[in-house]
Amino acid sequence: MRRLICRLLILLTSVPAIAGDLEERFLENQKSLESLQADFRQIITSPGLKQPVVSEGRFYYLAPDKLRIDYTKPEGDYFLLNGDHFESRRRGKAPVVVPVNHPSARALSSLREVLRGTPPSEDFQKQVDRKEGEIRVVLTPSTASPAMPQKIENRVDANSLALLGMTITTPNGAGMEFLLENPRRNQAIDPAVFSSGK
Amino acid sequence: MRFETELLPILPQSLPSVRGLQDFSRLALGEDEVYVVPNPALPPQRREHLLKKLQPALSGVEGVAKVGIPSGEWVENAGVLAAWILFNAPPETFRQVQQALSSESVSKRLAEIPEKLAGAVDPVEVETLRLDPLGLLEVLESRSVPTSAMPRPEFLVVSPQSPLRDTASDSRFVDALQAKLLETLSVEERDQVLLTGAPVFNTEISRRMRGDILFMVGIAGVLLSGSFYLFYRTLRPLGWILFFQILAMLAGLVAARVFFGGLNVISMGFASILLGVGMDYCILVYHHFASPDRDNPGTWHTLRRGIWFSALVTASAFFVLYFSSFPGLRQLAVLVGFGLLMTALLATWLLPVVLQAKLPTAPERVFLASRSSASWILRRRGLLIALVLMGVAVLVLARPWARGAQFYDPSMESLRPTGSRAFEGQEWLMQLDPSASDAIYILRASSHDEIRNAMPALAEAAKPDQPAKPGWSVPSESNQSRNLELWNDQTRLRLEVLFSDSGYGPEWSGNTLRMVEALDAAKRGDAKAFAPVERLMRGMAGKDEQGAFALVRLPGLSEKPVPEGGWPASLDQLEILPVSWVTLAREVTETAGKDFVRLGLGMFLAIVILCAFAQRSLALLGLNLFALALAFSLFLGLLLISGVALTPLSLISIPLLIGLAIDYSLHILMGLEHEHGDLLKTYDHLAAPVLLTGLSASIGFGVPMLTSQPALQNFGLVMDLGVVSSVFACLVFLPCFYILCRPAKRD
Repeated sequence: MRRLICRLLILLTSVPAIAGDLEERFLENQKSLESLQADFRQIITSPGLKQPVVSEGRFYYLAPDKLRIDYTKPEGDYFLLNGDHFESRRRGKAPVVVPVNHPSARALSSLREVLRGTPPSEDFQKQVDRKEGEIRVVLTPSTASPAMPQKIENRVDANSLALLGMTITTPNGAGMEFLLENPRRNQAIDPAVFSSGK
Repeated sequence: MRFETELLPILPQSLPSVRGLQDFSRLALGEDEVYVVPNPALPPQRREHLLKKLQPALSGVEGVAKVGIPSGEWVENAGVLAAWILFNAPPETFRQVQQALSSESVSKRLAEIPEKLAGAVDPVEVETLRLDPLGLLEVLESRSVPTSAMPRPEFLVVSPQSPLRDTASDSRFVDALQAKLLETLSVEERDQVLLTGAPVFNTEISRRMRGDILFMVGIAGVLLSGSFYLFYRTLRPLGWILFFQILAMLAGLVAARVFFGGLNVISMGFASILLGVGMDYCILVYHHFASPDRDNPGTWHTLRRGIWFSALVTASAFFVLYFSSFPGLRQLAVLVGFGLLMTALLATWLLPVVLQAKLPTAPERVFLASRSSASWILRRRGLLIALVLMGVAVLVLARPWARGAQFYDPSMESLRPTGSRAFEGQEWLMQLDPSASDAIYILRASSHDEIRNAMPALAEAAKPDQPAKPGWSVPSESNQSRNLELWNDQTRLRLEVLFSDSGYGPEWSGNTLRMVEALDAAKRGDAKAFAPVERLMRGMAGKDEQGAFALVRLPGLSEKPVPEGGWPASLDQLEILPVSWVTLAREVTETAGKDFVRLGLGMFLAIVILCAFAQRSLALLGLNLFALALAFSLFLGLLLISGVALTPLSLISIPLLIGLAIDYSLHILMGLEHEHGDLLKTYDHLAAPVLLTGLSASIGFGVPMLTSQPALQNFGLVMDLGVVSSVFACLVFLPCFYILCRPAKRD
């Protein structure tokens, strides 16, 4: 019994150390990321909405500050984050450009920071757990606020440390999940992909 | 004694901007609400954190009914608010909305939602869609309704359980909140949150006023006593003089209670002014009874006549201010004028009785100093005259009157309280207001329809090249009745089924159903149909004893809310009250300018008539007016050198200076006449008292500079410069010109 308690104590006290080590390794891994291409899925859920809304497309990231999502379902939409500008276009409408600190750019901007390997802001509390080959990092604001997400959950492959997805939950419970599938790391991307207005 | 603590009640009540600001404060901000404002310089999350910490803590304070976040209430009641807007919308819009609520339209719209949520969707759009899934806001062409995804104005509004009736209840409420604030926040957080609102201003300023009055009277008393003792080295007469001064002051306070019921920020300065100016008469009487010439009944007769004449002139100068458009100055005028007459009575009636009981003797050096000053002036009168002529030449060449802006600061900033936590809190509140650049108006008419119909013309007149959109918060009596006729009160049940069948729960249908419920209730004649938004709308529109009113905003026009040349005649049926410090400054400046001319001319004419009546000599009248011109030239020079600018209130006080300057010149000229132009003898009687009275008047006017009220500080400084100029002109230069003009009399 005493041995069991000792093991439990060792396990409990080592959890923060393991979490800290994982975070460090993940951030290091991200810093060596020059580009990323992946198949993309976006799932929107909301309390009171019976069916989630799923969209698909292609994801591009070129370090340090270019990120683009080209939607194939529905076709014609895109998001482009390029330096300080955020551009979006919905089918049948003209592109809209806003500064990167605009509320509309907040979700994509958070995703870009994770890909860059930027440590989470001190305004968030971290919780790390490992489940079925995935590491989940859940960030919750230290002070709940209507202007802040209820939580941000990043899912990372436990072996390759590649980012698998990110889910942003709004204060009223709506969720916006970005999934990156079949990632291709550090492969050349045509810079024209990040052109504005296309 | 009640203390009028605000700036607006001392300004002309007929000005549209004064009424606009007062109505805004009463209707929109509320007279009882306290605002808890975090420092706008902090990051938004930090501000949120502070407010979240304070909201539950303040809710538990005794006497607090509610602690709310204004925008939170808008979001919570968005459905009822939409119903209210629709209820007042033009019937065509109402029909369009009804069309959008038909079963076919609703089913089609709900079926489109998944498509709208797919692809490059904006989180703000998702939230807007959830709150308004049927897109009714597009139909209403409303201003954007606040949603939880948008930034919130970050302050709390604390409402008391019962109305705060007086300054004491204001203080109790504010003190309880302040104590809880200190208890809840850490030491470093305490400076990051301020309280503001009418109760906080009342509490803060009334405490300051009490402190200021005691402070002013104390300092003025000490300085005046010190000056008197320095001249005459005696205490017993000084005690009696102070006693009579206190009696005169009490008489002024009784007058304040009877005539006005209280004191305001300007009239509270009366105590030290009265003490300073009223001391003059007591000093003259004391000097007479302490001089070797005290047994000469002729001298006493001339002096008493001079004191009464001087009191009448000075009191008249103050009474002239009664005709000012500024209520603050009217109070001051009556109080000081009344107190001065009381002092003159006590100085010429009771003070001689007291002094004769134990006759005082003034130190010989006072007379020696007076005689040597007179000799000095006599020896150098040529030089002094030359100096005056040179000064006049310099003034003519420099033409300072052409640079009016240098002497006059029309901004209201100089009148606003500085160092006030409540005022700083109000400034923070304005910085946090997302629509700080809007021009705000209170519009008044007999009905809201009249206001609503005039809105496009108002917007066009305010900015002809790009008229702003009329605000949606103005009700319409005619639209309300027509829209209710069109409404089908079975809509709610039908919509509930449609939402449920399409797979949308109450999170998506809630606002639409609440809107429909409110309209159903209105159709049934339920007076409480819009109750959840009544408090929010109270400051936006309503009816009071003056008729219908509405608060209207025109975006981007805060710096120029009123068009050049005023409003067009087509808006005559509308009373337009701008809620604007910019307009207030302009209107107050215009009124102050008119008052200055009107009161200045009135005072000048009164002086001419009084001097002509008293002296019955054209030459003496001319010398009085010459002394006046000389005093004002020196005053102008001092303003130029010191860089002090007049405010609207101190500009209107200039007529008062006319009275004070004439007061000194009268004493000197009457003394010279009585002594047949003998300056040595005149100075024996008058040099020390006039110098001391000038000093005491300077102390009286100058002490308010040490208070926390900027309005009094500028007033005190300007008056001090005026008094110094008048004493110097009358005591040093006037005798030279008297000797020049009346040599025969002198010989």
